[in-house]
Amino acid sequence: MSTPCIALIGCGAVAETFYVPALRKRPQLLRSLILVDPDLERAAALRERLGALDAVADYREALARVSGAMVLTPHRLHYPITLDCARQGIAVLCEKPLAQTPAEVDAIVEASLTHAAPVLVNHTRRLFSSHREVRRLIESGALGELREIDYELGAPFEWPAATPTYFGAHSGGRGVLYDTGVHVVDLVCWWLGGEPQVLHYADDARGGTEAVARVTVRRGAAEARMHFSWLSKLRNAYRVVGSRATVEGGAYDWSSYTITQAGRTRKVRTDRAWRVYEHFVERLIDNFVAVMARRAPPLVSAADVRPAIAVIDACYGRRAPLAEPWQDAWQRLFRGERRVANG
Amino acid sequence: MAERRILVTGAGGFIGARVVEVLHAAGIGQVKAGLRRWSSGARVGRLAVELVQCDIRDPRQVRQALRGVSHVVHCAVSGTERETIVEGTRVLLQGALDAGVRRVVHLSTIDVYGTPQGEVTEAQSFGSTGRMYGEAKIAAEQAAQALAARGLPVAILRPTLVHGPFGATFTVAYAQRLQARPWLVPETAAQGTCNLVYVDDLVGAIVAALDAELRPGEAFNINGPERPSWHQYFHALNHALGLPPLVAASPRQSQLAATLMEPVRAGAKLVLRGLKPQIMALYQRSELARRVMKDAEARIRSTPSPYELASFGRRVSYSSEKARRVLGYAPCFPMSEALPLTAAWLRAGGFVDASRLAA
Repeated sequence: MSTPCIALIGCGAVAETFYVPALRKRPQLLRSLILVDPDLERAAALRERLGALDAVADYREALARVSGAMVLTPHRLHYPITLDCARQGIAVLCEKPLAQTPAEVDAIVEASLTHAAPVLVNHTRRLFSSHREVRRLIESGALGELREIDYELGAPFEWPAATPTYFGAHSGGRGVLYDTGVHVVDLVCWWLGGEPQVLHYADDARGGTEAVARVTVRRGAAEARMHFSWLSKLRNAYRVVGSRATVEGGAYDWSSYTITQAGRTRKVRTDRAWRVYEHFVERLIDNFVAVMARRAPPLVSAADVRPAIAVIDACYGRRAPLAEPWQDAWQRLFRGERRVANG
Repeated sequence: MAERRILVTGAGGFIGARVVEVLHAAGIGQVKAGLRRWSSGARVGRLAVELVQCDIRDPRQVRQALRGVSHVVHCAVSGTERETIVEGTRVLLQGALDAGVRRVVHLSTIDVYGTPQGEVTEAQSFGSTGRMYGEAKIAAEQAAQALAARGLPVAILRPTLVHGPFGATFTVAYAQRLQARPWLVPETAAQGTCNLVYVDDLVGAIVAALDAELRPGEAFNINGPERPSWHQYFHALNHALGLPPLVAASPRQSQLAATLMEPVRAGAKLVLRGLKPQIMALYQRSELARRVMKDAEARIRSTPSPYELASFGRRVSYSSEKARRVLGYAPCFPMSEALPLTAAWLRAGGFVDASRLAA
């Protein structure tokens, strides 16, 4: 079987950190890879380092030559590029988040079906064996009736971004919820079995992009609370409470969790096939190759992530400010002076 | 007066980010937030301000960042790179002189005085702390003075121990230490003066220095409104966090812990510097390694260094009388006002372990 020709669109930090190491282990893919970046020098340098097929500045130059595209661009470009590719019958592996609104997801799903162009989305947390096991426990009723989910995910933002696209006007005003939170919101929707209703959303954006966000959603009898931060390290852990048992685990512990039932807590080890985070990208790339060859369905499809995108869009639609008394304390400095407060 | 366009360097840091927030929120000018790396922009990215790349060691980036700027607040600093502090300051201030800015506020430190005792005014000569940071800040001030002599309208502020939300050294580190018992600072060892200034008071001084009539190169100490002892600060922060009362170890015990931890601290720094990727990989792969590393980190954090123990006993007070007189500086955040704000931030940021709170 011949190796498919693939466009890698966006040669920034995501490509360098996760995809390049995985692709190096798949030399046959490298030889048929077209690297795309508006910074052609960067794309050409990467082509040189990898021994890839070609480098171009505009993804549209590559589309006639490829059967698949990996979309690793700044977030706001995921939707238009994925849609464009799908409409031309090109299979897509898109980084999260796939789109900004559920309507955009619907357009991608429709194009994907109409033009037989499967779309795979990188939602790595669904691949963690511990998280898959939590879903199985919920679905099987082993936890009893699902009551609560708490998930905290936060660390100072240290992503080696090559461009300012994560913040302010460059990001379209969408910050930690859209970037990091989408992983957890997707996971929570998956655990809840569908799209929940947003009860509460607050963040700390003051005219720019939020760096801290708190979300509460409900589906049936279950309420889920999520807390995200780009500013400080949070517990990075989850707790799923059912009427019969409670499951707890670490956000980055993909191979174990604890379960407490009838007052007894035990640690459960799950599949330990993956030892480091980068291994999940290898699995995604292998799945993508199989998807292109029509040998397997996408591990996470565009339709799968629709509930998460809908929840996030609803959150931004009802944005409320987080209470931050320390933030406005500066006003004491200028008592008696007339200051126009921004933000 | 024409509208101010203010470049804040080090806008990703504790003080720089707060300067950006207040300048923007109070409408003091149009703010350009200068970042060395885009990744440090999460905090200031919350505001509708312009983010610019400004590695102060890079003359090209500095020139670009200074375009159209009338004022500069220079907060960029590094805890480990002398070159950033000294050469970076030289490059930035030369750029500001070339660009004809109306005022540069250069943030220095009381560390330029070394380790004095008693009342310290700006007339005191430079001294050595024996540490890179203080030495580099002296060299940076000298670079600023050299450019002031050539006409750069630069004001130098020497803040004391800056605390408040997002403060790593005098806020987060102590909040973590207070939670990690045993408390290794006995009362008798902490009777020295804690020259705290709340970050918003420092920003107030910076704002005052932007337009004040000053001779180029004028320097000012910026201290808080009170002079508690370290013991009082620790107890006040402990109380604000809602932690159980502190029970201190004996002086002998704490001195022994501080001495024994020194080689461990130095070794950990050395290993981390040389083998960080390997250590992170081990951390990811092994649960045992994770436990050992977390435990070691907690112990290192909770144990004061001999240098710190010496500081806790030093009786020194930095006078900000000159700033009051010339800049109209009037600090308005004593501990009783500041610590509840800090504690609220620490709780919201997940720095306080709820299981450790007093019943």
